[in-house]
Amino acid sequence: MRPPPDWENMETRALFESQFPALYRYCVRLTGEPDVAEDAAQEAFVRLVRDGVTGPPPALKAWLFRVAANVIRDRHRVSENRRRLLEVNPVVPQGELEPDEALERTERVARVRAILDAMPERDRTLLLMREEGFDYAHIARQIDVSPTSVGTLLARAQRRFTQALEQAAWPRHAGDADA
Amino acid sequence: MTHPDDGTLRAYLDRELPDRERFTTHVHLDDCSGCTDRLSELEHTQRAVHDALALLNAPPDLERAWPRIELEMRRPRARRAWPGWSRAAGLVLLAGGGAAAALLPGSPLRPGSASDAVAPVPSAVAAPDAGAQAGVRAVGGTALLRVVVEAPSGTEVVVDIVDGASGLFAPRTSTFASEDGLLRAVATEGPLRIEIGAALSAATLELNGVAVLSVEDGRFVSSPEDASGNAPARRVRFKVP
Repeated sequence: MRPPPDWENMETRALFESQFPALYRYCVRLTGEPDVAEDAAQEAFVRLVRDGVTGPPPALKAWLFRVAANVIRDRHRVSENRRRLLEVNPVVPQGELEPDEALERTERVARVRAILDAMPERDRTLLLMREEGFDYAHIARQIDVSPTSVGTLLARAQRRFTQALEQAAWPRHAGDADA
Repeated sequence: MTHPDDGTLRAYLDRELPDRERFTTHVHLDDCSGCTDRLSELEHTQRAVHDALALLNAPPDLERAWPRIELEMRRPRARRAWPGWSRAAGLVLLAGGGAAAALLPGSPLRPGSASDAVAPVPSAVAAPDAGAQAGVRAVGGTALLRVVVEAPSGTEVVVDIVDGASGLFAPRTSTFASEDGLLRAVATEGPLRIEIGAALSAATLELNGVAVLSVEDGRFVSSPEDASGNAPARRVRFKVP
């Protein structure tokens, strides 16, 4: 006789498959270090399982992101040395690019990374959480501000970010970033 | 209407404005080319941010990450809980008038938590009917809230969705507890008043061990009034069965 399905484990796997990619991407952007990002995203899921945390999907997503960000803050503070090292030798998925394209892409990545690292933590969190589709209420809780002030702070952070890109001689047509 | 600032336009683009403000902003944009230009500029800025951040993507290796989580799943586990439920250090029990005193700013009885994961208690105020009632406000910044109440049959219950912090209020004879993600009361008489913060992702009310009502993102998604076909907006009133 076939054993009954383990619904809890299947739910956890489904949650993992749906949320881990975005959580990992968020952590990579936050730290610039894929290994650190993977560790933090994994740790968030491990704590979710260990503590038996459950709830509606949007709340679970917010919980996972908050825990991963705390793990990064507590365990993996990026030192100045590491940051400088990454600026010189960033980890970039190169794919099938030609050598000169790969070099240009590497330089762009280093610039974006440097700009992001130079931003205040609150602005960085705002940009990255919004990019992952969080609403203002969730962002407000994470950065400890009123939801009604998120629009103003977000608009300001986005403008500072793009101004920094322009100052770094960013190509005018940056729309090929996904190429 | 005065020209909306960038924050309002940003919130308009992100569909985060309340309906009324969204409408007035929409009407203003129809007549104001300057603000329409600023709106376009904000859209352009967002696209530039999105394109630049896309450069920092790295593909996740799901199969490499999964075994550690699977290993944790095989361990004996704690009971299932809501986010925040299991992290708090302990229950803060407050009884009768002490609970009301605990809500006054500066009171030595003000509830708190030993867990550094828990945010400070929001600036608390007295219960809505301070003369007759006591209560507790939600502790911590959790996205979820569980309200657990024991009360006799026939007790009147009012649940409001509010813009501020969540709270649970009942006559002074009641016993209260507050923990990160949890408000609890044992009441011997009514009325009970429960305030659910609209900013919460989700909240549930359990009465005498039965989940009777839930709120998600500032809206009732299930409640005793739903059953009769009257979808409530911000307030639900019923009696304990």
